[in-house]
Amino acid sequence: MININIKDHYGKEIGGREAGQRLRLFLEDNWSSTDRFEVDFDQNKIASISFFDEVFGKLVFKYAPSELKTKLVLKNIDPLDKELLNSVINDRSKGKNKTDENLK
Amino acid sequence: MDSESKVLNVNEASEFLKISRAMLYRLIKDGQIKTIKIGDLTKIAIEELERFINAQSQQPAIKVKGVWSRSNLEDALLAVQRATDEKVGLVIIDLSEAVFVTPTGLAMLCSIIDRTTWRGGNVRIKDPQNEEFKVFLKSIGFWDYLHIATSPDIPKNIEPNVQLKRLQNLDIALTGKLVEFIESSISVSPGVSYVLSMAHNELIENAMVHSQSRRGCLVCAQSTPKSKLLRLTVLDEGQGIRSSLMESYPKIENDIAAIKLAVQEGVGARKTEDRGLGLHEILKFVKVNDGELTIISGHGKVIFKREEVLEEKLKTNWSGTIVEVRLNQDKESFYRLSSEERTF
Repeated sequence: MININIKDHYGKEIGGREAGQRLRLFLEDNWSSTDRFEVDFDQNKIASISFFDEVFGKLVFKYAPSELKTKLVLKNIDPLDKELLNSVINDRSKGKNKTDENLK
Repeated sequence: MDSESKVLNVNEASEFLKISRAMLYRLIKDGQIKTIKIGDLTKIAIEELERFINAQSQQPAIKVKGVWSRSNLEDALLAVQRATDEKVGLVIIDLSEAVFVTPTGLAMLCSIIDRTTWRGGNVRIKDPQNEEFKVFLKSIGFWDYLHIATSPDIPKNIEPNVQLKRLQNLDIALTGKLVEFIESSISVSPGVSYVLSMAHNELIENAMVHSQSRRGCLVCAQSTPKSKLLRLTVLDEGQGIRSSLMESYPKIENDIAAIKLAVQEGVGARKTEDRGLGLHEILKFVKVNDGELTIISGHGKVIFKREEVLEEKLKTNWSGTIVEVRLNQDKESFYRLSSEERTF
């Protein structure tokens, strides 16, 4: 298991697409070498659509939501951030399904 | 009046004219205001300043009466157009009959002032007669933004405002301060406070990434407890929504269609990138908080309110984009997915 503490990686003030991209690239680079990532948000409120989209929304295009759920353990995440994160994943899944339908 | 008070130094003269020192120096350099040299000191006779004011009274003015808000957009647009197209040297913003300004109104006014000065023109502010409004303008950062020294004290009972700022990049710390300030000033539900942070972060990032404006963006927020409203405005002077979507959607008919497209899931500036969730998500969360999302860009103005979409074709063009989020501060609800749609 790989542990990632958001505060240690990005400091207290985190948000935006750039920070999200850094986290996603880290996850992608280590995806096959670990069974699980534990991402600790340390109760930081992120409140950034771009951040969650860049990390989790883009992972939806590569991996099924069920695989994300198995591979990623989200610790100490703000409840409202969790709502936003789920909403982003849900929207991206719908978008991906539409694209897959068009390719058939 | 004694002879000493008939001449003013530069600070006093800029305060007298309600313009910044920089603008006063520009007027002096342009020869529009004559100075008196006393040794190394630059002085200006009050008589000269009065002559200058009288000479300007024939110049075009933006008259702000009553409340200045998003509904005064056409006046603002015409003022910008006149100032830029007709090369008007001086724009007078007459606030003498104004009583209130919303964050969108304030951002538009400051954008007009900036656009005028960027092209070398000058702006003069005609002071509000309403003393409460003068104090309010101080609390919302108008005089500071223009570098005009005013000294009204801000009473403690003034409605909470987040002072107008021009930002050059996304500043997460500023979002934290904004929310802290709102939460300490008024009673607000956690959901509303969260949507405010989310919208603040996203709209600034959008303005920085998509507008291609070199000037950053103007940000202002305000709470009016009487009407239980929280307002947040982000304004940029960039390329506008239609232009930013042209690469991906070259057949967009007009600015209104572009705005309506921009709030859809997955619509972004580049088809090769999976972006374009920001406005879509903001709209979802605003709707459940009984709020409103207003987007103004080019000739288009669209208000999204619950399931209603109110469109207006503007006669004149706002080059850039203005986004206003209005939230009901008492609303407790928050956007929630059903359990089968949740991944985490």
